[in-house]
Amino acid sequence: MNLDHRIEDVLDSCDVPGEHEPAFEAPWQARAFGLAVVLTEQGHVDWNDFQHRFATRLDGREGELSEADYYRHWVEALEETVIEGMASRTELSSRVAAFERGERDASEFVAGVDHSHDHSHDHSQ
Amino acid sequence: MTSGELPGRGADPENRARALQSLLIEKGLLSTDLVDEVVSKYETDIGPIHGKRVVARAWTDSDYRDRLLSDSTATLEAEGHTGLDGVEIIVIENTDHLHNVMVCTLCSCFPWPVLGLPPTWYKQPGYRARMVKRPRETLREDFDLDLDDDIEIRVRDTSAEVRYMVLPRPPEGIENVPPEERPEYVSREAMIGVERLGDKHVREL
Amino acid sequence: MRVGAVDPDAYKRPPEYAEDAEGTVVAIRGDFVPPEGETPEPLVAVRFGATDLWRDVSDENQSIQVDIWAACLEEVSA
Repeated sequence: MNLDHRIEDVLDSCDVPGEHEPAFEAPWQARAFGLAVVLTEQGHVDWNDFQHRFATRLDGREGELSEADYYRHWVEALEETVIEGMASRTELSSRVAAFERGERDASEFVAGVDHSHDHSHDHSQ
Repeated sequence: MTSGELPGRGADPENRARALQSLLIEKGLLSTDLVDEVVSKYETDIGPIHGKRVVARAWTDSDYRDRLLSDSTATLEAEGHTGLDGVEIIVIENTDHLHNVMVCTLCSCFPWPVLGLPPTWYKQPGYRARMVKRPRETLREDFDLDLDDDIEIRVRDTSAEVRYMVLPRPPEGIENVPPEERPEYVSREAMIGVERLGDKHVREL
Repeated sequence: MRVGAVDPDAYKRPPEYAEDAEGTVVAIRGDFVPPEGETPEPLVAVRFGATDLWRDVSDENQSIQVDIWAACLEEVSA
């Protein structure tokens, strides 16, 4: 079961006692959060550095900040961090495009086994 | 800092997040299991209940309270409340005359291991700016918390390295509440400092 | 001892309200590795009276306390 389905299940069945809301409003926000924490735990990212980039993106924002806004900036800070040493700008933009076009989807995230897909030969235009 | 447009600009954030995960897995830098684990931890395990239990115990166990206040990180770690490495959590006490309230002007640093992820209102630039400069007014207008002028307000700006958590004053009558029920009388708001429990009796909570 | 906050490199800079402000050291937090850094440096808790930071604040019973990198502080003679 992939991350999206699992999170949706939790959000649906959430029986949150007390005054607080579910930790994440949407699976993508949970994913973005998880990515930053794991990258830090694995030593690929410095947490302070990431927070600094993230904070810079929040700077100067006026008005209400929704959870979606908050995590969108989080994703931006992640992209910025990742293309500075973990992957190239082109690699990442191609990958984003692949997901946008529906050539890839969350089903590739299989718990327990991560396939290293090379989809370039799978789909013909 | 990188200049120029980001690779995912204009795309749905869901696809941007997935693309990041997909690529990072391919690069061998993380796995889906690790991401799932973190998400699961923050959804089901990490949350204000830990802080509430800490506070409830400190209210009636003065030795624990002393240890908590003098070496918060060590005391919390001994109970398993750990977070990112190298981060300290300091518990600060509110009294009749001193009211501490937390804010993070930089971004929205928060003592995750004891309070979970911060609520949306805490992350607002508006909260951060106003609480720093006009705490008394902000507490009154946004949180219905009226503090007399003779109560000193100390705004604690939290950083990435050192996070704060408030030990609120106990409500009256807490000693008559069974120990296992005491955490229910603590609120996340009180541990942030936007609520004051000490002015109330347990029957009001 | 009163200290003044000066601006250093971007990663360690204190919050805007503290820049060039005078406050009092209330505690030494210990050594931490700063962002983009490798060696631990001391972090110091500094308290600023609200009326010292803002001219349009009159509440004498209000302060703000923040942890600042020692490198950003300079001693001010009493």
